[in-house]
Amino acid sequence: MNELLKAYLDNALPEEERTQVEAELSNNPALQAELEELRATSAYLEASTKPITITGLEQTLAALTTKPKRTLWYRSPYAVLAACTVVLAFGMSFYKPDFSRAEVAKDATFASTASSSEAADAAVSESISPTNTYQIDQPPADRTAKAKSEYRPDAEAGASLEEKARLRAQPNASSTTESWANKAGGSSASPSQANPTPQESQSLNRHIIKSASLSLRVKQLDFATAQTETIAKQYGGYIESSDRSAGTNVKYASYTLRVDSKKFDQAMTDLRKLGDVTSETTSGNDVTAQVADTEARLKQKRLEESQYQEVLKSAKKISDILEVKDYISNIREEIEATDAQLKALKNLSSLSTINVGLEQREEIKPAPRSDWLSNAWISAMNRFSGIGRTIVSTLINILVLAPFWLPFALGIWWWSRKRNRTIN
Amino acid sequence: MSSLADQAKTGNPEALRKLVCEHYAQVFRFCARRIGQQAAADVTQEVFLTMQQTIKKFESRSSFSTWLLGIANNHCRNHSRKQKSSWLPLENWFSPAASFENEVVNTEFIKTALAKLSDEHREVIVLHELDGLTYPEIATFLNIPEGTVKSRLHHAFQQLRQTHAPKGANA
Repeated sequence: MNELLKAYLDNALPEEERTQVEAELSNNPALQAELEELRATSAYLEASTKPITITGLEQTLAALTTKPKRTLWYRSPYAVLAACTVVLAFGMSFYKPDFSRAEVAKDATFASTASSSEAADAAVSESISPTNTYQIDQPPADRTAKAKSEYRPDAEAGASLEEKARLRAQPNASSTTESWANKAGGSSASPSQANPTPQESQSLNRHIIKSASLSLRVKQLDFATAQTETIAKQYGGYIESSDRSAGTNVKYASYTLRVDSKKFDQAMTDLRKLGDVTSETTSGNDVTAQVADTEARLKQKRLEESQYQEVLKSAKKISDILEVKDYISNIREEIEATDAQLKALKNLSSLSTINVGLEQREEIKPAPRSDWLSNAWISAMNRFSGIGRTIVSTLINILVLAPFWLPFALGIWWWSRKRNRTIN
Repeated sequence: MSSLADQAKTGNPEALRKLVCEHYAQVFRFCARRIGQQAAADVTQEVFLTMQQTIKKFESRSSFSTWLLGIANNHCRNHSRKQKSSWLPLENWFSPAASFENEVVNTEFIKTALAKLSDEHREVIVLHELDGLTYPEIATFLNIPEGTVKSRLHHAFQQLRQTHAPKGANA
């Protein structure tokens, strides 16, 4: 019962218990004495309370009014850490040495007809970090600048070289034809030899046997073959041979085209458009000297023939006539052979050969799912793994760059903590 | 009182001011008993600054003064931890009344017995007898059941009288 006494004294008992205690108290003097003791102890404690003088109310009120709401961002160290991390992650994605950017810069310099200094400026403006990306951007810009400056002289040199070659070839040819015409006296020489037409002189320019082989991967083989035939006809040529074959998942077609050598480059450009170029080789064989040589020999032989003809006219004896005729038929044979050789050379150089290999591969697709549920599942899983990869790569970046940002973040965190402590 | 707290919650500076004036003495005494008169002014100021910042979190589950004393209790505990001083030292709140005349109690004994009390018992005595909290308020404050408050107070008072009056254990 006496454990309820203190609560009874403090008037903290429920009604039922209080009446119980009151009933007990009236019968039990010892309990009454204890109650008195408790009351006296309480009173003594109250009387012995150390006096306290209240101070500082004014200061507190002043502090409350002068300190309005604190700005919250720096009070949270986690917010600071998060901000640091985000800033660094963003920074990193921009500071990465970006090669596509360098490509863009290069393209820009190629496209613009600006001077080399402007090109370099463009490259610099493209790059963000002067220390990092500049070094990557600079070489292409330099190269383009150099290429640009060298290009013109090169082209001029090429042009002048060609010019020289033509000049060298022309006087020779014309002088030889002239001398032969003089010697022949126009009796048996053909008019074309005596007076070289513009066409003739053009064909004397350069004789180059051009050939190329091109391998393409195409999407539609039938379309590509039709296009190839059209190109051959379009550029004054024909299809020399063709071949088609098919295997599992793959179809081939190979063509040998002959096109006008003047339109060779255009034909190549058109052919490249048919698909993705997997390999390409071009070669040229300059036969200008050979053609000139063969022509000279031919003319020499024709001259000889005409001289034999002269001799034949003046010959009286049968044996002489027979002997001369024998000589003439020999020389005639040689003339035919040389002529054929010359024609072959000219034909080869006037029409270029292009070997085209076409290849069509079946696209290997994942087996198409018929139901929408598995499609949704697959696409969701793809997206999930994509996001996972992004997150992991971001985390790796943050982790690797920790030595740079961690000291700052820790410093700010420590400072903010200290501030918080002094406030509380 | 709670209406004043509600007004202060909405950011009414006048209500806040009244609230502070109303509770300042109680909080100051509370702090002074725990950490001493000297540090009490600073800590009380901090208590009210915290109150200002966190008053929006006050949900009227307990009375406002209990809530406020809870904040004060945390600040005082942090302070005494920093000072490495003991909790509720006797000299902060007890100065034996010389003029107390009552033949029922032995004041000398109570003085020595108080020093021997455990922290838990000392705490309930201070909270109830000096801070004037009711049993349910102490229960909320210490986050213990009300029955435990009752028994703790009973045992604390028994310790203050039992030794010199063993005959009291007859009930």
